[in-house]
Amino acid sequence: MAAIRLHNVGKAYGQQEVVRSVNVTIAEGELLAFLGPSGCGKTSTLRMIAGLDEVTTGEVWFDHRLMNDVAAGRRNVGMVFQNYALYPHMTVFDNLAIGLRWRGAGRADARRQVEAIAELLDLGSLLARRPKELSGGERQRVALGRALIKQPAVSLMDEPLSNLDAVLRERMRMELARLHQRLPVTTVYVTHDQAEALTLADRVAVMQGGDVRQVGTPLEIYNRPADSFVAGFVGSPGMNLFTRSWTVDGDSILLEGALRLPRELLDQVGSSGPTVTVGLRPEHLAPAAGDAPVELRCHVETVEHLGSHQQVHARLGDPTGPRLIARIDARMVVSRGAGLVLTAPTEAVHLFHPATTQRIEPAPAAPVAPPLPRPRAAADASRSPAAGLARSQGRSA
Amino acid sequence: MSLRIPLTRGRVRQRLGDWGRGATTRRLSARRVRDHLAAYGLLFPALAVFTVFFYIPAVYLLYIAFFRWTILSPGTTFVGFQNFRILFEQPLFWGSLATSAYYTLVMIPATVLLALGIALLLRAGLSARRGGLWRGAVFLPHVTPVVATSIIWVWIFNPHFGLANAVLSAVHLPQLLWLESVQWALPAVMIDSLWHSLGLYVIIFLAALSTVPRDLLEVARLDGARRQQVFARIIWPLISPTTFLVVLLATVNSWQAFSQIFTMTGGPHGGAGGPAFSTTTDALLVYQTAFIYGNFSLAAAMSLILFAIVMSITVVQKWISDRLVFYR
Repeated sequence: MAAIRLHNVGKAYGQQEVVRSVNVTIAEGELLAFLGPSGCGKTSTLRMIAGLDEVTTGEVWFDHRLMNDVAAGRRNVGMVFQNYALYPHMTVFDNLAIGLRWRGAGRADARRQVEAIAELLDLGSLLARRPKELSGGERQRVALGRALIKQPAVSLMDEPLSNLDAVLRERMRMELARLHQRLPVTTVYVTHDQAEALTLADRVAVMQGGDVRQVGTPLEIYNRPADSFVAGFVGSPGMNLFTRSWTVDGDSILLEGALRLPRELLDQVGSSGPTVTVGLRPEHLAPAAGDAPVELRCHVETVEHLGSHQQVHARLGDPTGPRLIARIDARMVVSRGAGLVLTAPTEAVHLFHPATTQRIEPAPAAPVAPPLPRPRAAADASRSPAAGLARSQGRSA
Repeated sequence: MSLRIPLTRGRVRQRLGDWGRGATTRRLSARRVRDHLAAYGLLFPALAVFTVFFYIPAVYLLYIAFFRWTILSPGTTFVGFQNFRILFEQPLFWGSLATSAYYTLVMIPATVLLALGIALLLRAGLSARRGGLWRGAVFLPHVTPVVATSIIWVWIFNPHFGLANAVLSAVHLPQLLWLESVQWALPAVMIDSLWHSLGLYVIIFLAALSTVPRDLLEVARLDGARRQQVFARIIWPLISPTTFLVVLLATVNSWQAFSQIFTMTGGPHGGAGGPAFSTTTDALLVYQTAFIYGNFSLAAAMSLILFAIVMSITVVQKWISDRLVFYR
């Protein structure tokens, strides 16, 4: 097992930069997920770690060894591809064994290792079959087995669950989590599915446009997004973001009449200049009952009833204002076309600089991570609170 | 008292429905007939050409192989297997079979190895933009007329002032008599045939190589496979259907090879096929027997044997391929 350090890693094809100066350290045994929309450079980063693509700039280190010029075959990397990339003309046994044989293992030794990994991944009954005789989940397990059988220093996974249907994907996600607990190999996991990233990863690196926007634990990413892109991308639906000019109105800060914030946020709001970007998660909004320190006046456009809750699609202020989504209690009566006043706890207000998109941190005295006002899922005893949080998001995604 | 069944709305609908169904069936079958007529109409020109120039001669060939039928006596004397008996007693016939076999046995591996080798080189060494130019260059000989280019090859193999001997002497190798030597006449024809046919097979192999998923090659790279291991265990099995196709085409084309052999060693060299019949393949002997010696029934018997040989080889190849070729 090895720790990975990416130092200013960049990739360009001609003039087109697909990855810009990525700096991430992945500890030994850690599972780090690169999360981002398509084309954000996450797969390119993974391929540079694997050695399948050369880095244009920067350095890739495994422990204390610079890997830039080390061939892919000598990096001891196990990789799971999006479409599994199983050798179609070989049996499951040969798919698992051939890598070992290429690396010089004897026939008996290879057989022993194949049997061991087959037992771990429950592949024993499939060893004589060819890939086309396997189901999607079985192929996925074989691909996983092939990546792990050589006891790699680093395991790389490129959207390994994206070819599975929703039910199987959720089950394999749990299996992957369990497997990582049993075999804590340093793993880099690329996905565009935030439920996967947040449930599986020890830390998540959110990427956009070739840049890493934030690296942190799932809880940090969710609770303290580093910029407005991360805020809008993580969460389902993502955070509501409004960029408005502000004025002080007595004990409140008024943003173009429709949004009221408490005066205690004045230092933060003031530091951003004449306009500020306010972020509020849909699940933190609720219809106001009486005066509240945070207040949003909005105009309801549509209401989606989703059983456990309802999703209100509205416009801030008048019917031409910016769109927002609120996830509120299913029992509340909200009518389409009517006005609605929403509120949220002050701790749930996120502020971002409109020009730099960076998060505006509260004054040092303020609590670092605001507690969630209404946690939607009980924390799993075996996992971190972040896992519980993300799982609830996964279900709603 | 008559029993009257009231005509309810349901019954009316049922009757109308039946009537409607009948009409639909009639309409559909009329349309089907029209479709069939159109299809056969479109097929007719091709079918007519094939029938006149292929099927009728093929059946007629089967017929005259069992008769005595020469240009002087296009007779109707039934001779049974006598034509075949005559052939089997002729050393020249056995010699022509041996020459055909030699030609085919060299051409098949040479075609596969060279075409695949060139395809691999083109794939590995060329950018997509220049690739088109090189692919075109490799394919170009295939679109040239065989007879015309074979005449050029006769000049190239001229022992006194030909390019082939110039190259040999440039690399300090002994000069050869080429088309004038028993030993080298057929190899010279093979070189011409390879030059002419390889382009097609290179393109076929290039297409096959492009279907090998890149992921598989990358997995193999990550597993530490060496280049030759990747080829032997991944690429070769995955392109095996194409290799089989190339072997099949090369077999049939080699057994039937005629134009280049005739042009290089037949016509201008007395029509006998190389010095001392050294390039007289089965196909050439069929031509000579029929059109130079005028013995059509003997040539027909020979063609039948040629057909049987190619057919048997193909069946055996198919049998082998079913066991060795991997179809995705």
